[in-house]
Amino acid sequence: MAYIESLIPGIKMFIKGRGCIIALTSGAILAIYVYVLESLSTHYTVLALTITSTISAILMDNFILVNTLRGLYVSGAPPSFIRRVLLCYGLLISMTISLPLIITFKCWFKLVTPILTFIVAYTILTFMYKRLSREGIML
Amino acid sequence: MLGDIMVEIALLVLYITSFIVVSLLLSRLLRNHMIYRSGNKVIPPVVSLVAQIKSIWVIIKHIILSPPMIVTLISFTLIIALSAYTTTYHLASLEYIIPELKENIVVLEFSTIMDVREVLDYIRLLNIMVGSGGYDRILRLVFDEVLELPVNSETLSIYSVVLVDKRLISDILTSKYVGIIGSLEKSITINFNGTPLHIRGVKPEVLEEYMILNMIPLLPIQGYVAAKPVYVPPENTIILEYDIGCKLLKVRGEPISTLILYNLTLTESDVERLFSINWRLSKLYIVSGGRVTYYHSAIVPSPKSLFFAILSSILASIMIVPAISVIASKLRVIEYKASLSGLTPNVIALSASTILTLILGVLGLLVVSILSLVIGIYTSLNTIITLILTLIFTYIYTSHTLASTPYKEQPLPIPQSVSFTVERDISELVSIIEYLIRTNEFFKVIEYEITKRNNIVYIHVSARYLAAWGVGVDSYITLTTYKGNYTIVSLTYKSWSVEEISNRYLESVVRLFVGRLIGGLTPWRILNH
Repeated sequence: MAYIESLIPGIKMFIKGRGCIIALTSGAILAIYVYVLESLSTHYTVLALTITSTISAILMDNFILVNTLRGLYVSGAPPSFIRRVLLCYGLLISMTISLPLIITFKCWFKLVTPILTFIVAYTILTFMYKRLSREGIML
Repeated sequence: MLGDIMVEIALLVLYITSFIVVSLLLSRLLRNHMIYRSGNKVIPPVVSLVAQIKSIWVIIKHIILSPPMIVTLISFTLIIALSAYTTTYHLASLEYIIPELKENIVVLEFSTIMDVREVLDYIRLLNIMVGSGGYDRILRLVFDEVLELPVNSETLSIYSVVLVDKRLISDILTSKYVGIIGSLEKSITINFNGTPLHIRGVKPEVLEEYMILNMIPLLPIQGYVAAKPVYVPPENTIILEYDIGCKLLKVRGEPISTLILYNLTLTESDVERLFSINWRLSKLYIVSGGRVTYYHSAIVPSPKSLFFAILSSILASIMIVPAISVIASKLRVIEYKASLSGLTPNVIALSASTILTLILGVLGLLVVSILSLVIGIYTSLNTIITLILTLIFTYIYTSHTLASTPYKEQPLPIPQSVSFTVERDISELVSIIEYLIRTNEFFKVIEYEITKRNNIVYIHVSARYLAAWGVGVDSYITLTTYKGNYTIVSLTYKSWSVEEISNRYLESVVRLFVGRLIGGLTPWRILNH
């Protein structure tokens, strides 16, 4: 039940922020590139751009992320709950950006893209949360 | 050497001095303009030039040394690279018919000397099956220094040697001879490194006009006058049978400048792949059923390639939007601090967007030049269009975002309190207010505190909005007795939210709470008070 509850703030952050639009647009444009260009070097470039776009999407939502985390902290949410919220948000961002690419990518890129984007997203979110905790912004 | 350095230093000093002078003049002009515009009404704060430069430096530092900037630079580089990969090109080609050629032939002409094995390996790497018809070789050598060969009692100056497989020139090179020279004498014997060679002499025009397979010139071309080729003089050129020539010149392997492959057919994609390899392929002839298609390595822009260049550039420019937006949002934060230092919004916007565009521009030019070297010069069209579009977008977006913010109309704060008089006794009113608050179906009362001092009643209410999570209203109500039977109601309220919620939403919540309270007291309210 706690896992399901953690979905709600995560989804709310995802929908309210501009990150989802950026992730979707970037994913769609990169998917077009993958569809048109079939060379391996292009696929590597697209993969790298997917990662930078994921970072950009999360940084765009920085304001809403900080406020939500602060709100959760004030309302007495435990760190494990906050981590689950971040996990949900990171998962949604990575899924949005990599979904169009999964359709167009061939070979092993299909598998690597969602995993890599999720790892990047969750790492950045964790760093952000740790920084906020350390700097006392949560209080 | 020293003189050049001195000149460069002098130019640099001159450049810096002129830059400082122009900057000072511009700042004075700007100040005069501001004073003129302000007239006697409003005088802008006097800020020293040093302070302004320091403030601008703070902005620049904030732009450059930030994680969003690093992400933007990486994204920008990758976007230009991706734009380069989307380049489509169109090889210059020409078609004509030579009815005598019935076979399927492919002719590869290189701008440098290649080895036959190397060429065949490249072709096999591209999964192009070489036919069983074999191949013929042509090697054209132009000497750096003139080769003097003894002919009878005289010497013959040779500028170039052409080695050709015999079957290609069997009509002019008979079995009696091993070579040909464009000399008027019927035949000569040349002593080549101690070996006597029987060379057939033909008219110079014969060699100049001779075309292998009716399409490839025999003599090396040194240049063109208008469209007419200029050959190495035929009287100073020896045409030798390939194998004999290789032995005499002590050449290793099978060097060629032209390779003719028989029984081979190539598709359009094969041609593009052959030209995509970096092996100095300059010309390609495909002969099939008398039809000759000639391709040149020169790239010609086509409507299709231009369309793709613009489309890919637009897509690439869209990709830069999130990266630039992140930087713009960061700049907006420091804009307020910069404005406190006395900088006007226009100066902040101008300096931030110019610096950002300059950084991206310098990096972009570097990336464009590297890509043109690594992938090919033909990518320049795409990359440059992308670079220009991205820079224009960056400049407009950042300057507009920063400059327009201070001029935006801000809504006036809504009143957070209300006061009115009701025609009711204070003790009666306390129970009515409590009833109105507790029976509000949209809110759940968390705290309800009441304090009485003399003739004044203080009520504090904290209520949670039931339709949302973590949203509520805090209210302070003061009831004061007025002229015995009247009561002055002063209501102060403030909404609160755990989450970041829009003001409009919070105002709606407040209205729901306050509306019920004021509405419940309206029947006894004295409007003229």
